[in-house]
Amino acid sequence: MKTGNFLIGIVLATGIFFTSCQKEETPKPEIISFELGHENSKTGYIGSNLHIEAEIEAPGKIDRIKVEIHFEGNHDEKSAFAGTDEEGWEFDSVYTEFSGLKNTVFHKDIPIPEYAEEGDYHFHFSVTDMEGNQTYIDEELEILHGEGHSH
Amino acid sequence: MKKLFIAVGISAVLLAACTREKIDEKKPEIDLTVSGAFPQNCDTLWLGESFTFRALFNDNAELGSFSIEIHDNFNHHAHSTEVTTCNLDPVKTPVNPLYFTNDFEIPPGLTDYETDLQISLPAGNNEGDFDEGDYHFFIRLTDREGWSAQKGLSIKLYRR
Repeated sequence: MKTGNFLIGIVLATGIFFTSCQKEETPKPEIISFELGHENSKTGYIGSNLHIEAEIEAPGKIDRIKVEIHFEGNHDEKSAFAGTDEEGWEFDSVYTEFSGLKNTVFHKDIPIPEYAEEGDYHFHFSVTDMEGNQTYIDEELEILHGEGHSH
Repeated sequence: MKKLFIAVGISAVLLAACTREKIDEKKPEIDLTVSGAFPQNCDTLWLGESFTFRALFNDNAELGSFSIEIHDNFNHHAHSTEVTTCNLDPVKTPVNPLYFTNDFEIPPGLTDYETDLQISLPAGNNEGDFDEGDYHFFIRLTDREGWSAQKGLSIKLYRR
């Protein structure tokens, strides 16, 4: 009888180990490196492109990447979000071209239109994998009048 | 005794099944050092002509697909992890830049694959001739598991 219990013990122990092994959770996507603006200056220039680059690893496979930029206010009036919605430049885009990949280097140059207002913006970047795990980065972005190109 | 064997047997099978779930953790590789690999960094491609894209791809498990993208670099933008610069022409504003992108499947079951792919570059579109100058040539390789590798080259597009 003792041996019987012992045997059952072995099988149960293995069973538990086996279950725990299967339940292994997929880690969230990881943003290994990130650059907003040339040399990560976190600055964009009106009439020029905003450089965004991110190295991503997602064991659960990338589903989509989202970039959102919206106006926060300008330097003089600190009253953020005050009635700027109608005129200000906003950017909102979901990229699905990386769907199914476990890693990638996301690189986009987003044109900042001439009508964009100078000032502080909020920048949101998120990576969602196929299991719904999400990793994101929030940054403050400054948009200025430039000399034509963002060097 | 017999019971002990059975129990150990079951355990062994369970454990084996568990560990066998090893997944591919390796990224594929793009090799442009093989002889005849083209284009190389700083090479010139000609608008309105075709060229042969030659590169060696390999992966530990199984290759999947690759894509090629050509976009202008008139603003001398950086891809921090990728491109090294050549002798760049002065910065300019694009008028009608060429943008080319295409995906290609690699036959199933391969761990090594050498491309021999003819690509013809258009000379222009309905808006006129494409701009000459500095461009980036981007190669992205993906394996069946979803791991990818990229390589960016600085090239020139001219007309002759």
